[in-house]
Amino acid sequence: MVEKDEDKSYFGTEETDIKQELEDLKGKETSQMELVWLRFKRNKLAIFGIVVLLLLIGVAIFAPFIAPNDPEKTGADRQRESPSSEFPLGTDANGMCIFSRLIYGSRIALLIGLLIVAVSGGIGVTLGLIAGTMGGWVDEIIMRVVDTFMAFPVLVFAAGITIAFERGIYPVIIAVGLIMWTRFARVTRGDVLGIKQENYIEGAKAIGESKLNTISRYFLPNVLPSVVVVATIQMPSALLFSATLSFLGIGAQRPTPEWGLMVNEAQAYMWSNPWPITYPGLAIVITVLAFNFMGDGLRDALDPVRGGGD
Amino acid sequence: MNIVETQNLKKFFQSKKGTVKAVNGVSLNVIKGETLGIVGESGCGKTTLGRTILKLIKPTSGNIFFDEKHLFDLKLNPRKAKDILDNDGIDPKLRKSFEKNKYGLSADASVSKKGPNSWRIDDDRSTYLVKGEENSMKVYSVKDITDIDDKEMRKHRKKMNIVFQDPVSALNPQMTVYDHLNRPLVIHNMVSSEDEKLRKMVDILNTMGLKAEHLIRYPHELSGGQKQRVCIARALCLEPDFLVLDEPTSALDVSVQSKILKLLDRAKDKFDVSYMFISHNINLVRAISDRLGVMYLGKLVEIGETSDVFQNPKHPYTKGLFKSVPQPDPDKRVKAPLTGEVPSPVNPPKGCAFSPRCPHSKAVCERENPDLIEAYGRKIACHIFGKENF
Amino acid sequence: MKALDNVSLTVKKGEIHGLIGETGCGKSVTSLTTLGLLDNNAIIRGGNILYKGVDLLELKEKTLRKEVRGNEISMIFQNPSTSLNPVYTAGEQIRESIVLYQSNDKEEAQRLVLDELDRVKLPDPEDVYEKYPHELSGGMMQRIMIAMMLACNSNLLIADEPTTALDVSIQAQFLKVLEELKEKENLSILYITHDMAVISEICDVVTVMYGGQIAETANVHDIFNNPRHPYTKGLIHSVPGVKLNIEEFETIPGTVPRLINPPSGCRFHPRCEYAQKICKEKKPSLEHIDKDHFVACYFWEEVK
Repeated sequence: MVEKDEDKSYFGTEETDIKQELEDLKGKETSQMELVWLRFKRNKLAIFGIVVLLLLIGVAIFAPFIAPNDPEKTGADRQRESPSSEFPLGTDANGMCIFSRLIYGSRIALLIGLLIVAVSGGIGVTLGLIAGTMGGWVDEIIMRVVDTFMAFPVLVFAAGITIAFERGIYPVIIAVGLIMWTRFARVTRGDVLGIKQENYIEGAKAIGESKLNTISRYFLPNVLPSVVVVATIQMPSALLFSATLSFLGIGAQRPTPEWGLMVNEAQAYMWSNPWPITYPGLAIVITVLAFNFMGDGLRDALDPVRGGGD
Repeated sequence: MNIVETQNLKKFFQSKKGTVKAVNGVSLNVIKGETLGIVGESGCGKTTLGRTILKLIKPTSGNIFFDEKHLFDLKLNPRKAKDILDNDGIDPKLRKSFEKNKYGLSADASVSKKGPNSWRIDDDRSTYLVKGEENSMKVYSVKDITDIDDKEMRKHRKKMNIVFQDPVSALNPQMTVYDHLNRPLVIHNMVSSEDEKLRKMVDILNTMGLKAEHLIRYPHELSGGQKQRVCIARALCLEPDFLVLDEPTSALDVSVQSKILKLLDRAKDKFDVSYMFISHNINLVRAISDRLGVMYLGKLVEIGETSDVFQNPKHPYTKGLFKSVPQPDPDKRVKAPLTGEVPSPVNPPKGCAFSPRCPHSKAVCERENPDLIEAYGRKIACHIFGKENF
Repeated sequence: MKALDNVSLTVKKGEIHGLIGETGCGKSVTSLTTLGLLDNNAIIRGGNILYKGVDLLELKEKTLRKEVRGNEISMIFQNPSTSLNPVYTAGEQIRESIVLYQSNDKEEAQRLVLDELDRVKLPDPEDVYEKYPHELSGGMMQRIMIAMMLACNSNLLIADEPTTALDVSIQAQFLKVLEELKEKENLSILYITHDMAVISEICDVVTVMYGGQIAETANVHDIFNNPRHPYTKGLIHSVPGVKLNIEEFETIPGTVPRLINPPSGCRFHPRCEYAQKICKEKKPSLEHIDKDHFVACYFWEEVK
């Protein structure tokens, strides 16, 4: 494209409605997001991941309409029944509808995943930004804390917390969130150190931006792409952690329809009837894989240079 | 009148190998409305100087004065005035002279000598400079921005700004052109309504040869030249008095470069702004600057009128440097370039930093560091050629 | 994307041939093509590269690597630190070339290395011999590269922006070394740069490229004093130093075209003040207008 005569004044003397003109133009632009989407689209696995996740979200939202039964309703008269029209996947040892529990389990899984990522992301990004921008001894202390946390046996720590408080999904969220923030902090700090070298940070200072505004308007938006990638990659780990804790009996408690808990309860009779343990197991595997595929695709799409390297 | 004046400005960095004296005692002034060119080879500290003057990095020592205003002349015989000013404490006569001109000095005011013909008076409200000029003692008010805190400094940022060499790195990739122009206007309360803001933005973009439609573009959608225009527009939208241009065209193609230079030249008159133009391209600085300062290893070695310095360089480094510059004329080829290389700023040579490369070096050059003193209507730091009676 | 379109240039023995153009004009691609150093996605459609009468395009990669690159033709780049091996001293790297191409005797090789270092005017060759690349400045490394090519007995040097990262005084010293080598050793150099002043400094013949095509070729005096292509003229008049005052600077409207979708006909026509209908429709061929002066413009007679 060749620009024509840039030096000529665009408006001349006539007053034009600039605002309207800009609104009109906005629709026509290919934005950065569109570019990211174009690159993302090329990755088949990532598309598979996103489709599965959209389905999962749909299932979670419309659970009451999909599930034929109340997932928490026990029945002493219908324990371990085979699939029937009333209970499509049969019932478990407590007489609860496995299919309905699987459906409602998607709500718990997504909730746990999102909350854990929100907690760990919130802590990690904040501390990473502080460490990176302040530098010096603040950076030193925060990064030593990160190292300490990374050296911690995760399950033991999480088990400790959940046992110290009451058992249930919220202590799990807090426990796992407290463990997983370190990755966010590291990535954020690393990015901040790179961004610090850019002239636009000095430029922000030159126009008189305050420190807080520099962080929120210049550092934060530029670390967000990496943070989003870390979040999607952390999501499956979060799900696995919570499922593991529930499986060990220190996470979600009966009758919460949690997949890990379902695996735990079904293992007692898995040799006589393997299906009740297979369904929640499969649900966990598929969800985790979907998140992983999407995370990889997102990383490659957001950062085509660095992405795909490992 | 000066828009910026530095006195003995220093900026040292600590590195693993030792202290890097990037800027090592630079005293210069930028006169209102002029373009001061600063040239030098890499490692001479010109970029650090530009950043330190704007306090983007904190100076190690020295002073930066900004926004000089002439207040009045001291109605005293210059010799007598000198005696009075050289005394410790404020002489009653000096106080009286200030009061006569309606500038009261507070009780704890103090005076200090800053040069052979300049003094500084501080009181709790303001800073004054007294300079002996020919047959009068002129009193100026200045803002000493050296030691003010960040919050106060932010207010002063409206009046000074910088354009960087690499326009790719100078723009936030997550912000549109609109955001880039919006931030300074909002921070400094420059506009009262959205309409006024847009009109101002479009006006400044037009001055820079861009159009309103560029407002919604992200940096990656612009060419290198357009990015640099946005950077200049952002620097100018606050209507600053002083702009540091740090190699603003080095990253651009020649045909784009000349356009940007013309825009800068035009903007200078329109916005009544003074430039400090830092570059390693000596032909370029020659074309755009009114006065020229040559730096070598953290120090100014020569500063004066550009045409004068070019026609008759006095400092051996300036001479050698100009002789090394290739001219775009096949009939004028370089005959005798400077020999040797620039020494490390971590461990600069004793005495005059240029002495090891200087063909005229004498014993005194290796012993003592020459001061930057007036000679031939400019300032030169050289033991051999820096004096008129040589 | 057509990076190069019908580019013909000749470097004679003992001549410094300047190749100038702005970003994306294809000047670096020209040199890489010469040595067969292009990536796999590059396709060469037609043309030949004759070196001492041999077509390099017809040689096998192995012959090219063994007998042409480094040996007959050497190349230096803008950033010499990436071309030198950081774990060997400068002297060892040159010695390796000498052992390969001149002498097997260790002591003699070492002496030859010191000779080469002296030939490129490096002060204190013994000291430089022992230094690792990171201990040397950019200007010194660039001279090491030249010494290395001398050690290989190369006849043609392709220099791609070798002084862009160097300071003016170092650049001047480096250019002097090249000029002396040309005079004394009859070395041929293809010098690629975007800097008009450097071109005028050392070149004998200059080729101006625009949008992957040659706009003009002439000896250096004609290019600067009698440019006949509107682009050459615009380029020269926007170089600081030709005009001493900023107000007299000329500018070329518009920007460099992208090679993905170049303008039709003469690629310069959208920015050209002399452009007529024909420029848009048909590409002008390189016309021989004077002794060794070639221009690709329909209206070269009007350009003054």
